[in-house]
Amino acid sequence: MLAKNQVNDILSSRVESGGTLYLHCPICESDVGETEGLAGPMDGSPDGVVIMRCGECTSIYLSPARDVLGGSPPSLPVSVLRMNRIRTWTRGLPSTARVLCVDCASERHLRAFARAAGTDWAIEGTESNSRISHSSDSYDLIVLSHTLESVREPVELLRHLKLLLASGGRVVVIVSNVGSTGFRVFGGRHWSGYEYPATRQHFNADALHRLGKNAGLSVRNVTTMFASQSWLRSVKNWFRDWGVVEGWVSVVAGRWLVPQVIAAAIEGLAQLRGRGSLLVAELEKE
Amino acid sequence: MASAAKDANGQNDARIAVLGAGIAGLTAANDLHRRGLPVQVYEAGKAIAGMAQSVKDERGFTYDFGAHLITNRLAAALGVSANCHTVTHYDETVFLGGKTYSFPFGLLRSPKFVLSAVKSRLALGSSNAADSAADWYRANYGHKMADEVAIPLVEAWSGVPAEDLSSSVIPPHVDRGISNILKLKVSGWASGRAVANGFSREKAESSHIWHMYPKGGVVELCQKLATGLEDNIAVETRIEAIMVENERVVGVRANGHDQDVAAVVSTAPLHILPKLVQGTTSLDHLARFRYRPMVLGSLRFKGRPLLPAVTTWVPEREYPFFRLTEVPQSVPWLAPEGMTIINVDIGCETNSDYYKMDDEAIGELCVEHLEQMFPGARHRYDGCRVVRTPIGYPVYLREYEAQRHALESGFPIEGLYSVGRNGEFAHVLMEDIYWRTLERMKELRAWYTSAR
Repeated sequence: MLAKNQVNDILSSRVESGGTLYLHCPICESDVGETEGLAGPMDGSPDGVVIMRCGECTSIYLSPARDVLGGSPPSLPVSVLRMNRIRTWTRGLPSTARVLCVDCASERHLRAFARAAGTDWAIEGTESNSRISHSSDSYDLIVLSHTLESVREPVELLRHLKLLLASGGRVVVIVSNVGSTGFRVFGGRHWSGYEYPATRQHFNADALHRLGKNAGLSVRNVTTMFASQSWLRSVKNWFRDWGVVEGWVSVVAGRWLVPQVIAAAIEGLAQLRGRGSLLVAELEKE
Repeated sequence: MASAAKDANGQNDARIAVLGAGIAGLTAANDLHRRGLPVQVYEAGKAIAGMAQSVKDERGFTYDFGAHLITNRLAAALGVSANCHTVTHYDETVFLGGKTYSFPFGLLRSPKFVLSAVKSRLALGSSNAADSAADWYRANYGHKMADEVAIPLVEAWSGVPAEDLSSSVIPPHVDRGISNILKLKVSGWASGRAVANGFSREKAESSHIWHMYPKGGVVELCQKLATGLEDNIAVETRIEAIMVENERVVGVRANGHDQDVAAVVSTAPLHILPKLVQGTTSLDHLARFRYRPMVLGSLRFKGRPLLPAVTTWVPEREYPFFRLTEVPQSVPWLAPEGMTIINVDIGCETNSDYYKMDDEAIGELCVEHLEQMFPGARHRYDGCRVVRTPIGYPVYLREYEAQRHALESGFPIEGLYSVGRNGEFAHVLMEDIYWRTLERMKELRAWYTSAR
């Protein structure tokens, strides 16, 4: 038996002692890191943390880890969770499948999809749903959308989730991609994925492979996902950080069509090169 | 002393002695302590931070030993960003022939400098072969700019002819090109921050790295690093000897008492080590290494600003100082409203007149020359405070360049590590001290683990 609380404990373990430069990569425990840039608030306040790239697994982690993470984990824009993407993840699921959304905003999207597909899935969320079973081996699909970026021990969380999975069950992980073209351009400070101060580590495809392996899950697939909004949010961060007047921020990052088309075109090219803004990993319990 | 103390398993359980509680020593101690290694910090002074302390007088002037600007990256690495002010302005000029030229692009206004530089650049390949600083400057800047600006400055600063200095004295960032400087300048202008240029050699500079000033001065960084180490720092404790047996560190003598140690991390100037280390002669050659003494004056003036830029380089030899820094242009709160402080850097020897002058005479001498450069300075002068140090900067003489270079891979004595500007005998800036010390401690940890 596995208590839901154990998962929730990991999700809520966002408090740790503050200090100087973080000692280890939270994904692979390596202490060989290199500074990559600086993340911080975009409102002119001097606060900030160093962006470190792990020399071992090449993932990104912020250092020092925050005493208390602020804000909420980033919610996925509705547009990126398109129905065909959900269809891919849920292929082969029985009509009575149990689905768990962990600390993320995917729950409502999955509900919408289940309604449209006419399935009878039992969709639960760790935050809002109190009907989560405490028993192990019971879920067919677990979705973590932008959850792993903010938990303190991502490997530990996946290990616990593995216990909740039924045999052959899957975990779908969606994270911002530090192997993306967007990160190459804005990764020094303004990259939308940082979501300062809500996140503490970020992944590329290699890091997700390593994460799945360390958690004892087999990696079925890691692909990138189209998300043009991340470009606009990065530009918005840049403009805000450099004190550009709000009117221009709205023009570029608001609902104006031209910037959106440009961002979509750039992201489309990046996606074609396998450098889309988001990563999706499908991990399976064998 | 036969050997370092052993635990029940025959393993070395003695502490690692850290000599000095400045930025370098505390960075080392903090890193080792957080990783579970036993450390003991010995500080000869009454408090941590030493020369990093800021002194504030009753009128509201804050005196720093040098400009205490740090980068936001160092602040973030130490977790003190929220306690720092963002610096929005920093610039440099060169005072030459009664005119000021913004650095570096203002110097391009002078056709003689441009033509000379182009001519030298066309003589391809010469920069790589430069052994001396003089050769390097002439090959890269042209004879005119080298002879009138760069060489006089480096000579005033080091106290020796540029022909005798190794080309290693030229900071790597200087060679990164005009386009890089331009990029940093533009991003600084566009972002409204003093983007750092030439303040970090260990880590890349970018538009995201800018100057900050800790609200309590640099001592705040030391306090942060010392957090958790309170029981491991002994102040007013002078290390009189480092004991070595069979080319391995085994102990230290602190205030007359011998103590076993597993290793020593020293921040002491290198030329002192041969006297400090007992039981070996392998460090004797370090006694030749020279440091340039400096007289550092902080002159108070009415009105602000007085200088055309935060930092003014003064290469002409008729002036006693080679650098003037009006820090309140960047950090206004260091002087009360309507007042300013100008820091003057005077390179000299300890037996020179400058070094022996009393504070008031130094102030008068500087004001006399400042009046020539910026008329009205004397009328605004309000007094001064002077600090003298016999170890201002390491001097990279060619005669010991090979030995200096060899030091980069460590000492021939097992368990002895040296960090910080004086300890490494290296031209390292504040942020670099932090990163380089962490690298050194990585080596120490690897050695310590293998030794166990």
